[in-house]
Amino acid sequence: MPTNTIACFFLGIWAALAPPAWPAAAATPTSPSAVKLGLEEVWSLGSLEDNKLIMWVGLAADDDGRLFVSDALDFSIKVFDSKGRVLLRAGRPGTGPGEFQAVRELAVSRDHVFVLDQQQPKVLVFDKQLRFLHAIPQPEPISCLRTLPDGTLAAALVPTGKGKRPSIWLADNRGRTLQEIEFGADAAHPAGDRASFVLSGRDVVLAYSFKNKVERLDRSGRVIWSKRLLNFPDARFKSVMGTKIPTEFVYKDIAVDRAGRLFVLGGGPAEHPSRDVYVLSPAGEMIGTIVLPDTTHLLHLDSRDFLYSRANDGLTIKKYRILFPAEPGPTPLKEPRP
Amino acid sequence: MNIIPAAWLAASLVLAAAGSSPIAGTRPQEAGQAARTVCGWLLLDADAFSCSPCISRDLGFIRDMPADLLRANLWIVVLYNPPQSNADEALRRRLISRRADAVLKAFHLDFPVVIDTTEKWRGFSAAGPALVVFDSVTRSARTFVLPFSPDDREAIRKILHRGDQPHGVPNRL
Repeated sequence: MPTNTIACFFLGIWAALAPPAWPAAAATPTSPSAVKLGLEEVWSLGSLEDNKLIMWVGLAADDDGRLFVSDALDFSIKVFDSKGRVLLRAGRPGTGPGEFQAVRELAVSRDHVFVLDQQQPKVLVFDKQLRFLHAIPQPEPISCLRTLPDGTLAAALVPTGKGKRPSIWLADNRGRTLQEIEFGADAAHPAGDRASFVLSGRDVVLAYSFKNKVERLDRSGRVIWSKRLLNFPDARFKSVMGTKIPTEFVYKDIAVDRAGRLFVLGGGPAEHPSRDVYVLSPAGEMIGTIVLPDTTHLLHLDSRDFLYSRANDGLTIKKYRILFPAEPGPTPLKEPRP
Repeated sequence: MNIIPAAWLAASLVLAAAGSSPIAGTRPQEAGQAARTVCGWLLLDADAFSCSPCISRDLGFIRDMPADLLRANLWIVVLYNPPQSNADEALRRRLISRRADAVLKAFHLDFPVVIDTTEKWRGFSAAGPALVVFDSVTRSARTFVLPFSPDDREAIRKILHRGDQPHGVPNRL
């Protein structure tokens, strides 16, 4: 098994199983003025009464409103229409083309579906009919996968060896490198700079997994702003056999809406772990918080700003409308009498 | 590999039956099933059904076994320790059942599944996921811990071939 796959696997295990190192008191947002935003459930997909989902892990919506979902315990990827009906399914256990051992994240572009499998050091490329096309070797283990509107693949690379910094890797659908944007300060422990990210306009916004840091970079890697969202110190590490191991996720995921607002999912130190979502302006000011009803590892916003998250340990996808406070606007004109 | 007296195993089975629940959706659990024989029990922790690499590895070893094993009357025993007091317990149990059912289907394994909460089976899998096989000649059960070594595979194959059919003990579950 390749070294990077092993390292990636153990990093995930550490993060999932290590006991929390945080004090009993939960961390609170650094901005006390943040308002609580509401949620309205639009629909719920998957339940014990049907076989639509077993334990889903990755999700992305395309511009046509279809949902692409990876289902780890069904060893498959699936497509649902906007009403939650199953359109397509592909995959089975195995290591052959189009087969999965531990399917994880996915991302969709206009023409392709990019899929990660924890046990395979590749990006698996499918067409939108879920036909397997080819595999792209991962230059380093990938912690987060996205696409740009033009179909460019974007992945956060977390080197396993010392001396190299993590980066956002931009590539075409054949894996040819277009650009690498380096981030993180600690090349001696690059795994500590693992991050989720979104592409917002021309910038990249990172939510660090093991640091209390959300950061906006331009495409040259220059830091535009860097914020600590929680009243809490940086991530803690413990030493196992001489290796520094992070003990818990500080931030689990990040998403961006059409207005450029950022949605950051809090991890272990949050008041409601894996449920608190911190909403930031494009400039990084905290403008609100959301408390999800169920714990989730992922946030996704579609092209109409509907929010998707997980429930029932992966049996269910929830789709929400985010309710922002009404903003003062012009007085509506009265309807003229007929 | 351990050799377990058949009497102990039989007693464990009887005790386990009280706290075991069959999963709907696998092989039909019918009244007449008590007459069937069972020759092996694959013991898996419930947590394995939250981890696709783990369950791929465990079931992969079974899938790679000789066809005899796949034809044999093997049962999957899911070892589950319910929390002491948890309002979601019923949901958790149903989630595990659903996952086990789906995973076996994905691997094309048509074995009955029971969820065991009695702790009686834990001792057999203290060293990890294990296959307990009943040897009809020595009237004893032998435990093989996954992953199987080539010697284990050969021993399992021999046990399954030993004597004429039917091998196994009456199924008391």
